[in-house]
This record gives sequence, C-alpha cells and structure tokens, in this order.
Amino acid sequence: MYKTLLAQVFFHSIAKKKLYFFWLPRLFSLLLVPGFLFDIEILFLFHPIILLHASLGLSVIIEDYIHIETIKFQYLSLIKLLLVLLINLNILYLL
Amino acid sequence: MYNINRPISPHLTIYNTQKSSLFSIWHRISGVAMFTLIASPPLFLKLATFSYKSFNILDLMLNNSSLILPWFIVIISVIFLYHIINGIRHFLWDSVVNVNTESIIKDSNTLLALVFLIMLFKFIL
Repeated sequence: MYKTLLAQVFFHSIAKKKLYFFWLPRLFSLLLVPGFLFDIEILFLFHPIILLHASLGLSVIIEDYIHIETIKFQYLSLIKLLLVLLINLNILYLL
Repeated sequence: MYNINRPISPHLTIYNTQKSSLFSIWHRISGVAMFTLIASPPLFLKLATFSYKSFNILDLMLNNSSLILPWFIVIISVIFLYHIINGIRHFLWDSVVNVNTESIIKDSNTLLALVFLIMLFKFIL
C-alpha cells in the first residue's frame, strides 16, 4: 500500500510540473550513496548533482534563520552564483 | 529596529532535548559541513592553477600529512553516513511512512546503530 502511495505521489508530482524540482534532486541524491560506499573519487564526477542538492538545503536553512527580507534574497542569489561558479570549475577540471 | 512581526521565543537552552529536533538540527549541521568539504577542492585546484606564484596547496597537504588530523577520513565518513541515513528517513517521512513518535524514536536508535556498525566494519575490522 505504501509503495503504491509513494508511486502515486511521485508520478503526480512529475505530472504537475511544479513539484519535480522538489522530488528529482532528492531522488538523484540516492544515486550518490553507492558512490560513497564503494568509490569516493567518483563523487567528483557527480559534483553538479551534489551542488544542486546542496543549494536546496542551504536555501532552506537561510529561509529559516534569516528574517530580514532584503538580506535573505541577497544571500539566496549569492548562493546560486556560487553554485554556478563551482559547477563551471568542475566542468573545467573534468575536461 | 527591524520590522519583524513574530513572537520571540525563549532561548534554546530552556527546552528539553527531543530526539526529533536534535536529529534534524544535526542533519543541517552535517549538511553545511559536507558542503564546505565538497566545495573546497575545486577552489583549491583553482588556487593552484590560476595564480602567478607557484603556490601548490595540494602538494603541501599531501606531503605534510601531519597537517591533516589523524582519523580525518573516519570523522568525515561518520558525518556522510549520518546524513545519508537521515536523508532516507526524510524520504520516508515525505511519502507518509513512519510518522509516529514511537517509530521516530525507534528509527533514530537504529540510525545510530547502523552508523556505528558500518564504521566498525569499514575501518576497524
């Protein structure tokens, strides 16, 4: 019953097109678990996925603990800029 | 001062520690620690390549291994394992499974036991 409920939630969220940005990075993060357990160097290949996951987490933390709106939006945009920079660096060093 | 329109709660030390709040706070702290650990190597590489001096921090770190803490890898992998297993619990909570106080306490105990057992099998045995 739970499996059907999970599948229902997942496919409904993908079909609605607004919630896939909530579910997909979390499901991608499950791909990193065997990479951590068996070969930790392969995590550098999946760096953009990790950074997408980290941007979600950091933005949630900032939204919870910073209550002044202008500073909050400044921090959120700065985090997105930092993650774009880090993904570009990762692409550069993988080439 | 600032226009914050919300009641101010007393300080954190007043409350009793609950398992649910403690585990979520450590989830956040471990996430930030892992972010600094994962975001720093490309920045160090950038420092090593795009600089006018011949300043090579990776070489410095690898040759002088006494600068790095002993058992550093063990501490990092405890943080990673905690975050991974707690993330699986968050998956279960998002797809409404095990959202009772009893099962939350039971799951947190099994989480700590799993982290301890995996570290035991990976490093000590």
